[in-house]
Amino acid sequence: MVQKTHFIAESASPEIPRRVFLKVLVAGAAGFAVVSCTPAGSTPTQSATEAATSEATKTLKVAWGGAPAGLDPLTASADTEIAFLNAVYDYLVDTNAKSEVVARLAKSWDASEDGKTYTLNIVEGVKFHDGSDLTLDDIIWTFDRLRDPASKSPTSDLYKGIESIEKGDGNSLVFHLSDPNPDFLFSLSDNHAVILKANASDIGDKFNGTGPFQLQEYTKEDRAVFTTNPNYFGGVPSVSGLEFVYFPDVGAAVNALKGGVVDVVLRMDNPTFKDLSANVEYTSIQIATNGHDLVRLRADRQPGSDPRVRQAFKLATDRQAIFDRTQLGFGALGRDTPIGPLYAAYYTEEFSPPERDVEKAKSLLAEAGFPTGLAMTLYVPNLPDRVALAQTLAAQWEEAGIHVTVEPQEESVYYADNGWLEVDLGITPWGSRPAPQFYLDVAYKTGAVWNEAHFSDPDLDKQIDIAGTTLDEDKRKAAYKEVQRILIDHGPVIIPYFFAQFGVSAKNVGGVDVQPFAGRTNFNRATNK
Amino acid sequence: MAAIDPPLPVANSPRRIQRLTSLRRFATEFFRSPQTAIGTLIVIFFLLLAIFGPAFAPYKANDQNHPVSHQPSAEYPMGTDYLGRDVYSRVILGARSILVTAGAGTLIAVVLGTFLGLAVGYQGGLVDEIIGRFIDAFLALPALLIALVILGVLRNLNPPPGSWQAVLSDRSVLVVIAIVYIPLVARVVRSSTLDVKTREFIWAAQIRGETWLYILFREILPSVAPALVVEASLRFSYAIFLVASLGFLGVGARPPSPDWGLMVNENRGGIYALSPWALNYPALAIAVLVVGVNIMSDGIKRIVQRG
Repeated sequence: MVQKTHFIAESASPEIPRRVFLKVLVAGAAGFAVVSCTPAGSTPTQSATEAATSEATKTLKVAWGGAPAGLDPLTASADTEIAFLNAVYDYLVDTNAKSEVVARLAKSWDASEDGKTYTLNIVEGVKFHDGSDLTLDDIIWTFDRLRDPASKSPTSDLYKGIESIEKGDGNSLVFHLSDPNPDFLFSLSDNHAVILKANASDIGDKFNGTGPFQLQEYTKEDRAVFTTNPNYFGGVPSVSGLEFVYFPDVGAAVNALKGGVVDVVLRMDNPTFKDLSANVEYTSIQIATNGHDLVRLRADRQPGSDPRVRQAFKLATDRQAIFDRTQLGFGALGRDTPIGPLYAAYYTEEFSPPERDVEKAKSLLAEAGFPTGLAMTLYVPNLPDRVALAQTLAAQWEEAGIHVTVEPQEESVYYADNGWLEVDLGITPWGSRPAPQFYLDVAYKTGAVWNEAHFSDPDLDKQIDIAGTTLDEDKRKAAYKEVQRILIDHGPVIIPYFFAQFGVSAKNVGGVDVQPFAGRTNFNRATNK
Repeated sequence: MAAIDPPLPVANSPRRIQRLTSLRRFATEFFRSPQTAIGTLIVIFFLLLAIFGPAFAPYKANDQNHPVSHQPSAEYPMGTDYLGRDVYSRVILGARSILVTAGAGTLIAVVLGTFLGLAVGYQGGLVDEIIGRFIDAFLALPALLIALVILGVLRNLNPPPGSWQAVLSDRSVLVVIAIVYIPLVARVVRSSTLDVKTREFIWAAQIRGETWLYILFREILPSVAPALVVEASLRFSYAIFLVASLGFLGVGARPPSPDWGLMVNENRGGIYALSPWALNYPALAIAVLVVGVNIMSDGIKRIVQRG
């Protein structure tokens, strides 16, 4: 006989009372139904002029989606870290948005005929924040630190061609190189190469620089507050102070701008910029860069080791459709090589990646031994624009029988333990550099440290070496052209676009000269009325 | 056949008749309240969508061959998203993944939780003490936190395709729901079991020499079943919410799957201004489904409590 029992009345769950929960949900559902009917672009924003009247905005407040992890120039790499260093220190030379070398601590320079000796004339009378003078010894000490093989910094590779550094006539500095290097000035402008005081201690914690701003207060993962350097050799900055405010993501940074809490936001995804640029209350700046998202297939093992498979991936991809869908009209179309239109002197459109041809891709896969198609995992850093790219690729490849599972990973996970170098199929964002040689040296040459596709082609290696050492501009152009031909023809990478760099500021802010690498944006000419 | 054989169990055994009449009474009671009827209709609607959705959806979930960010129109009733996918098709096709994941996860949790609860409750003693403490400790942690931790482990294995780890990783959300809800179900079943096991009919079964499993499943389970039904329906509604939350947090279903939570996540931020419909409709679908399941389980609970 089954006995009747009494049952527990209350819900066993620890969550909020369900009546309340239901009410909230119903209200939410009603709210969504109303919002669905409203047209796009009607974003509520706070008036920027309101903020302009308050006293605090004499200081320029720049919002970042992210925060510095470490501030030692040897290892700093993120935008937020470089922006911090760029504010308190100086580089010998800068590059501008057109990738030209411009003066900073070095007011002029000269290269020898053979490209092995570079002489830089340093501005005189420059003072560190502690009042001491900048000497040539400080600069030599800085570069010795950067090129020390024991430093474990990428700069030890970058500067290994420097044989010696010595003092020249007047206030000049002479770099002697072991091989000709036409890109040496770009190397000197490298993100790590800020000039420190000789024998500085607590580097990364104490910041005695010559830069336009002096650190007043730094709260990790929150903000960095700077005062202007009254003795700055390039003139006292126009703003009364500078503040970097660090947010967990770009969305929060943009909300702070909309709320009038900050004046400038740099770096954001395409839709966010599109939304803000349509708003007349802000000044929006976009500049072309050579930054690109690299889609690559490992070429040293199956299936990517078969050139037919690599060709099938290229044939299955519609670069224009990707560009239209993910870049929203910003940036430039890519051609499967890292040499983009920004490098006008070296860029060529003589060769083109194949037009999309799904049937041909399928038959190539069948020939290569995959008659029923391929199944792979596509690893991608979990950033909105990159996940959008991955989804578009997945949809396009699906039609050609390449079935990919998209695996978005947090950036820290994607790069952890060099996992990004291991996976078969991945998307890696590459930042903009002022010259193309950097990409080729570190990511395309056989055995290069970041050759994530594990591609090896003796012809390509030869052309990369020629381009990197010749001073003959015609020879150099020819080498870069050949590099592009090889990569377009049978390279292991798909580069669907070059993305743009963005900055948005309140209307009362001027003079923010956004750089392709956002962290190198100089704020000493910025104004905030 | 010999005359001394015991009577064979027949279709209209007293037990079965009782079960049938109580079922019928349950159904009448259940639909007496219009609120419950509406909730049930909503759930049935989504179930049909999950089963027959692919036949209704005008396009494939990841078909991007449409204008991008197109506002709702006759051709695209819910508009298209920023990649040019039909939101209407994606919402329809997303019903299956959320219901299957939440449903299967709940089912596993109910089956295993019931077994655990019955066993621990009936056994009592030290076993009950130890496992009971574990369950208490587990319940002290928020479900979402546990889910994030488990997913973090499962998702970062990077297993080779085809291996059992990969199968587990692909169904990580389902596994998470099962793990998170097993202790909750077990606790409810255990407390009912504690009550039931002191009854005479259990002693009778013990004296008859019935096996442990027989007593658990033939004697105790029918008595705890009503409480279990309430608990299962509650778990199901929270599971739907958990699946959607995990999708929204970007640790649940992977893109480009038409998971509603994932769709909400993908279409917030700057994209929202371009195509608000791509966020609003999946959000609406989540809200309606969760409300529907909740109203339905409210009805179940009311009847069961009334006895």
